[in-house]
Amino acid sequence: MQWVLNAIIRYKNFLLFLFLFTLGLLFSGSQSAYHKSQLAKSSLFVSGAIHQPFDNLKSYLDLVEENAQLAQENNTLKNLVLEKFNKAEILALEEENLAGPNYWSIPAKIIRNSFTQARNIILIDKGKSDGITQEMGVIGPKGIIGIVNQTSNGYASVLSILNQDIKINAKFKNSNVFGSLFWTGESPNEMELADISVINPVQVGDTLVTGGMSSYFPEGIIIGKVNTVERPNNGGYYSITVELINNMTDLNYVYVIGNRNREEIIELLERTP
Amino acid sequence: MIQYYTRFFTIAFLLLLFQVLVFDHVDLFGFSDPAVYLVILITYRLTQDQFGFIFLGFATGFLLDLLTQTAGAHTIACVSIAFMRPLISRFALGANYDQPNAMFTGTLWTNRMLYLFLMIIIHQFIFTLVAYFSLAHFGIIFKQTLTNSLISFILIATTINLLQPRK
Repeated sequence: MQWVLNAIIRYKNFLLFLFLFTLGLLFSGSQSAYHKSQLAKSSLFVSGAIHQPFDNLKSYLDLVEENAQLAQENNTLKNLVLEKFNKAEILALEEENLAGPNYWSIPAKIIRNSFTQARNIILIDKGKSDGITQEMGVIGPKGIIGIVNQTSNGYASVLSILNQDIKINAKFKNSNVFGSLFWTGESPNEMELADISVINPVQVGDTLVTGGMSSYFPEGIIIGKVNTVERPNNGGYYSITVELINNMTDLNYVYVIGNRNREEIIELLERTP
Repeated sequence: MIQYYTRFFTIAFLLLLFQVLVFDHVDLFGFSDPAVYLVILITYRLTQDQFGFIFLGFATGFLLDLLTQTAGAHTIACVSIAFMRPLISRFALGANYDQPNAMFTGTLWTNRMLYLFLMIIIHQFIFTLVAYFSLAHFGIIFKQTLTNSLISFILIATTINLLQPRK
């Protein structure tokens, strides 16, 4: 027994290192465990509380630029409405919205945005008390941003589309061909599109939108444009890179998208063998 | 000694705050963030109490992981570098490696730079490796390790120079 104690005392540093290293690995690797979820929630609370005051100050200093951007966005939307619909159509559209569309949105402000890591996370200033729940989609003024990961009362963390664990269902605007969009970790404005068969014609410049096959995003939200297309010598799938429309490194405001039929869809999928 | 620890932990707190609020948003070349908080683990007294130092490494990394929403990469890198520090200091700092303030006095300038460089590059390599957790991304890991290490080296050397006790 004595020699065991002696060994522990002699190698205490190494044993402590092994113990803490394993703890770090567990923290890193436990993707779905309850403890990770609890830790993530606590860290979200602390992280949110720390970043909020500094972000408030930054927001105040950026107000002029922000107002100009919002005014421009408003103007673009107004022009779109005026171009596309006559008055009767606008009234019909308003009635349809009042009747209850499938999706609703909650505006939120980004208080922390990372895009230099392999798995990037965005923090927003809206949480459970604002009606935000896990796995809601998040879009920006120009396109998709990510999916809500964790929520505390006042904040939520969003898995950015610049996260190697995320795959987005996407399709071509002009052909309805579906594929999976994912980030390789190289550039914050470029993603790869997989599972597009070579029997479909693909051109550089083709527009990519959300496929609507998941309950996260409505169909047709713009994602980006095809940047390069490579047809492999062997194999039946293209290698496609997509340039994102959203500048993921310069985001301030986002909209969290809720799907009124989400639970019904999930329940149906779970019941389907 | 109490004065030393008060000063050390005040500086450590400020460095962590700066890391989270400023240096994590530098995004040089679109992907590079310097790890200036490493000053904490580099300048802590080179004493025999490695047990306590490994704890300090863990606490530093874990706190950063919680504040920056990174899942464990900081913790693993900081614990590893805390464990390896005696080996690195013995290799790099020369005959006076066991002096508590060897990073500031009693050692050659070149030895200190070597110690600094090794601490930073090993930490950055482990950090990026854990962050990507895939050997398929070795090219990016290599590129990020080199760039982050270089920028961190410049900023950490400057910070240490500012913290140097004046005679």
